[in-house]
Amino acid sequence: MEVDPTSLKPIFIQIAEWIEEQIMNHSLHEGDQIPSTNQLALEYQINPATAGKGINLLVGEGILYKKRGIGMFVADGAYKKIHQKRKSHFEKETLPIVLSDAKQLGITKEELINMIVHMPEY
Amino acid sequence: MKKNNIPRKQTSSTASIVSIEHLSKSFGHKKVLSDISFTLEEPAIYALLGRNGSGKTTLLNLLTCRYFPDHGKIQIFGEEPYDNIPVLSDICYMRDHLVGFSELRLKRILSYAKTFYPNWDDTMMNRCLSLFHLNEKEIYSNLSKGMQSAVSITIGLSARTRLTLFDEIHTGLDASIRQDFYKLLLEDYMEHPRTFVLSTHLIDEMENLFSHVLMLKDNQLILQESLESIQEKSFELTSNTTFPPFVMEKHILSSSEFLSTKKLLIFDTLTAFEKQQLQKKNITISHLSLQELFITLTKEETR
Repeated sequence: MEVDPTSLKPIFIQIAEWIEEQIMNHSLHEGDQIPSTNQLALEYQINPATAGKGINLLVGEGILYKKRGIGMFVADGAYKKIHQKRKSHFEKETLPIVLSDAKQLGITKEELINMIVHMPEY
Repeated sequence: MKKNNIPRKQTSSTASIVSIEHLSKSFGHKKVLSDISFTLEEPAIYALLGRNGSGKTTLLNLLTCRYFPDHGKIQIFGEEPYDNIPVLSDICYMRDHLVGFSELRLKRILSYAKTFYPNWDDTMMNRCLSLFHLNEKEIYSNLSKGMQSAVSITIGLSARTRLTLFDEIHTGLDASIRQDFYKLLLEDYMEHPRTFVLSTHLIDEMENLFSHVLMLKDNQLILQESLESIQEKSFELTSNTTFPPFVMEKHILSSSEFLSTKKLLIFDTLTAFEKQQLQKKNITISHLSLQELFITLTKEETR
């Protein structure tokens, strides 16, 4: 597991996203304990404060919660929350970029819809 | 865990372990540090960054009381550090070579080092010797440059002092050993939380070890902030048109243009809404690394 220092995103965000990814692909289930701040810090070779920040980000969003004296756990409803978050991100950020690109190329709405309709994988 | 009956200094948990106020230091006519003020927290790993000759080593030597300030106040563990054995024995300053021990064998050097530091840990020492493939029977001056750095790291980590200062201690170590060093540093930091200050030029490589950053330029401390705060404010914006007015109000570090592509480096927060506004205009937002930030902030003014 490597963080990409040249990435567009700060490391703590990459960590939060990695945890979300594990939840989305069912490697982590609701109620599971996640690696501790220190374990994450060691695995990613980063300062534990940075790892902690990634975790706190998810605690703030209700995706993780803390069991005092034990560790951090995946909250109930985490999968749904992440799914919703990613869907919203797709709608508000990913899709506008695709549409803007299409517009720049002079692709009309009809042409775009036609492309989607004829996409074999979708 | 105390040996030699030197008690560890206790400060209240909310107090900083180091407090520097209006520190100035000159050597003859050369002003090296000017009105520097900052605090160090515990536990933390500080990056001390600055161009060559910007005063990093001077600052570290002032922290160990090897130099005395011309002006200003230094408090370490809540006390005046000068001639203060309990304080001084809980500070370890290491650079990439040791002065005055060249003809001694490593074993002897380490046994001397042990007497300076009440919290010395032999287990850690052996771990370092093994990791760096150091042979205790070797004479110090026969060691390669990298091996000499490894000796300094061994002492610095085994001393387990409350404040540990590493002055470009990675000099001469190959990339593989450096990774081992960073891993060992992090492990020991998590097991025995304390405060490290590391001066370095290898910013890209070490960025994520740090919790805080201190940056020197032109005798001044131009930045002292947590890494997370810095990472939340370091952006490179790229646009093929213009930037919206709100961007021009931000703290802009530099701007450049190549053909029709404009690039802005900013050191300021961007709200989620502001980011959306930028993405709508096809403006790329990327994260500025600490090294890039450092280069930009410490650039010499072009004549």
